[in-house]
Amino acid sequence: MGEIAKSFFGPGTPGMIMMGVLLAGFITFVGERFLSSIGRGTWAVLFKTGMEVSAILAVVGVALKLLSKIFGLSQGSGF
Amino acid sequence: MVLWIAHATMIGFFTFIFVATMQAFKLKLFRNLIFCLGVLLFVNATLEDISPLLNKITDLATGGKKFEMPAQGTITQNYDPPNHHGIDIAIQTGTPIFAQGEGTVIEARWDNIYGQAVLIEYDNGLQALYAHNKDILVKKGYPVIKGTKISYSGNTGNSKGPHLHYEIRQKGKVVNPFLYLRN
Repeated sequence: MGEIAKSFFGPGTPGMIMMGVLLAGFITFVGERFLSSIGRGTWAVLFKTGMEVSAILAVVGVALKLLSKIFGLSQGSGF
Repeated sequence: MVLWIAHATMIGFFTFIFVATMQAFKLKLFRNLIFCLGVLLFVNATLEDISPLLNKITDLATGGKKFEMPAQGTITQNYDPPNHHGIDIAIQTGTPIFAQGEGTVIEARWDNIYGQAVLIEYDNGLQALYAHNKDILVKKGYPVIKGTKISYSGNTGNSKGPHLHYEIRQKGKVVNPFLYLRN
C-alpha cells in the first residue's frame, strides 16, 4: 500500500498537485483571514484570486498532461 | 484487478478527505479542483491498470497487426509521451535490424534527433521507425518483406549510448508500440 501511495503522491505526480491544491487552500484561508483582520480587504481579495488562479492553472496543467497520455495526442518530432 | 481496487481505494479515500476538508473551510473552488483531480487520477489509474485487458482486446481487434520485437535486448526506456514517443532497446552497435513485415520504405535518411533513421510503412497500415542506426541499407521507396535487412544499429543523432529507438505510428500519430508487439 505504501508503494501505491508513493506512486500517486510522490514528487512530480498528479497526487502531489492535489496535495499542493490542498495546501494552497489552507494558505488562502489563513492569508485571507489575516489580511482582512488587519484591514486590508482589497489585498485579501487579490490574494485569494491569485491563489485560485494558480490552483486552476496547476489543475489544468495536470489535466492536459493526463489527457495527452490517455488519448496519445502527442506527435512524433517531425521525422 | 486487485491493483485497480487498491488504486481506486487510495484515490477515493484521499480525494474524499481533501474534498471534505476544503468543504469545511468553505473553499468551494479548491474543493471542486481537488474533486476534478481525483476523477482524473481515477480515470488514469483505471486505464493503466486495465491495459493488459485492453492489450488482449486490441490483439483480437487488430487481427494480425502484431509484430515480433524488432531486436532482442533490454528495454531501457518505455513509451512515455510526450517525453518519449517510442521504446529504446539496448543493443550493440552493428546489430542488424530487419523489416518486420511487407511494406515500403518511406523515409531513410539522417535526422538531427533520430540520427540515421528508417521509416517503413507496412501493408497492415502501421508505420515503424527505427532510429539511431549506424548504417542504413535501404533507400526511400524500396519495398521490404519480413526479414529484409534494413540497417545496422548504432548511436547516432540525439543518443547517449548504442540502442534502437523504435516507434509505431498509425495514421501519422505515435501509438503505444506494446499494443502492436507480441509478448
